[in-house]
Amino acid sequence: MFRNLLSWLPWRRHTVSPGESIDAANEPLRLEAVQREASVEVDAVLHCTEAATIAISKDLEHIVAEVQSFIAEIKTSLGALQNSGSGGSCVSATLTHQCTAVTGFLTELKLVALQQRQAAGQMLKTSRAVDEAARSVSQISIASRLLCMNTMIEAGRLGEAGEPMVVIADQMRSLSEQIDRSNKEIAASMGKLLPILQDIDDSSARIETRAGQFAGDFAVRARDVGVIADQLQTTATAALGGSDRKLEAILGCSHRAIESLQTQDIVSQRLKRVMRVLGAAGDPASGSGQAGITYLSETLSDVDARQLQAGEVQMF
Amino acid sequence: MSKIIIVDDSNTMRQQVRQALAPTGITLVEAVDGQDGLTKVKADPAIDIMILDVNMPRMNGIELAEALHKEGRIAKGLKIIMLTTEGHAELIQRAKAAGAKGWIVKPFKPEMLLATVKKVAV
Repeated sequence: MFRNLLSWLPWRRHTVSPGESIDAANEPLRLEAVQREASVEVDAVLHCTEAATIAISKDLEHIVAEVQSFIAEIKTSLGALQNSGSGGSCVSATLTHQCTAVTGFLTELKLVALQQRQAAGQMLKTSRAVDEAARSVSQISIASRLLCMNTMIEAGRLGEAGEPMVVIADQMRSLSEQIDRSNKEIAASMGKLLPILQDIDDSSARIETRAGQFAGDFAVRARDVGVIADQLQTTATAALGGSDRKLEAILGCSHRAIESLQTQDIVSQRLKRVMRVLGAAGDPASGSGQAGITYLSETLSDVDARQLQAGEVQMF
Repeated sequence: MSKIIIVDDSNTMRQQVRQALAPTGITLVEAVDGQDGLTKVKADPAIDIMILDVNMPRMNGIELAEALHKEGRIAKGLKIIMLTTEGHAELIQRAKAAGAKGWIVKPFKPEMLLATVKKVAV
């Protein structure tokens, strides 16, 4: 872009070979040409600057919009984290509530296991007593059958007079055999029942022990979960506040950058005018019209009067 | 809802104003100098706010404000906010006499322009 301008620069054009004469008559023409070329080049530079300023400004607007959108997404996510529990409660409260519920359940489970073990122990004790009673009944039954046999022998010796005793002894033997059969069935059932009751007792003891261990471990984890939940809550709250501050800072930077772009544009406009003034000076035939815009403040006599400064606002 | 015209010979400045007012959703018309601004305001009675530069080719901002004042457009409700690099008291006084509502010196803060527009819009 500057190549043409450089080729026109006076000191380049004034470089002459030894012995070569400088044509003084052509000097004003060359100066005018340099001014025209410089004006064209500066206009081109300013045009590019303006395009760049507008592009930067649009990019800046786009960046701010993207940041605003990103922060809005973060805030939505953090908000969801803060209100993700049932009924809109926060994560921290939900986790704490869950830990309390599990601790309560474990305490209840331990109690139920203890009660079940006590009941199983009571049943074992009762079953053993029943088994003992069945053995006693069995011994009584054996003694009864021996007594019946002796009675029948004695009745046989008595002959006809002993016949009624034979009938009674026979009925007693039959009754004793029935008692013996029932007793054996009770003993068999107790034989099956006792190991089952023992298993129930053992299982209840294991459940009680395991529930106790788990409750102990869980109490430690629940404290950790509580700490994590609180940290999560604190982090989410801090991040929400932080994102607002960051957005404010980014908007502040963006606004300052926009002001800088405006300043650059103001400088460009002034430079454009300087070039027009220079152009007009180099081309007297065109008159002051080449200067383009007349800056009104330059036409005022009282330059020291009170002036509003950049960025100031006055309402009427 | 207001309809605004920005009269400024700088493309960059017109774009900055457009960006600053974008959040309001206001309709914005652009004019590249005083003469263009005068033509567009005359053609569109819906324009009720004018953001006006001072130093422009063909017709400067003070002349445009005075022309609109003379034609009675300001009396009909057109509100003018001057937006310029100038801050000279005499020029401010001329704009005020022509019916302008405010004067902002460039470079402007976007939020300040927005606040000023909202203030004159009510």
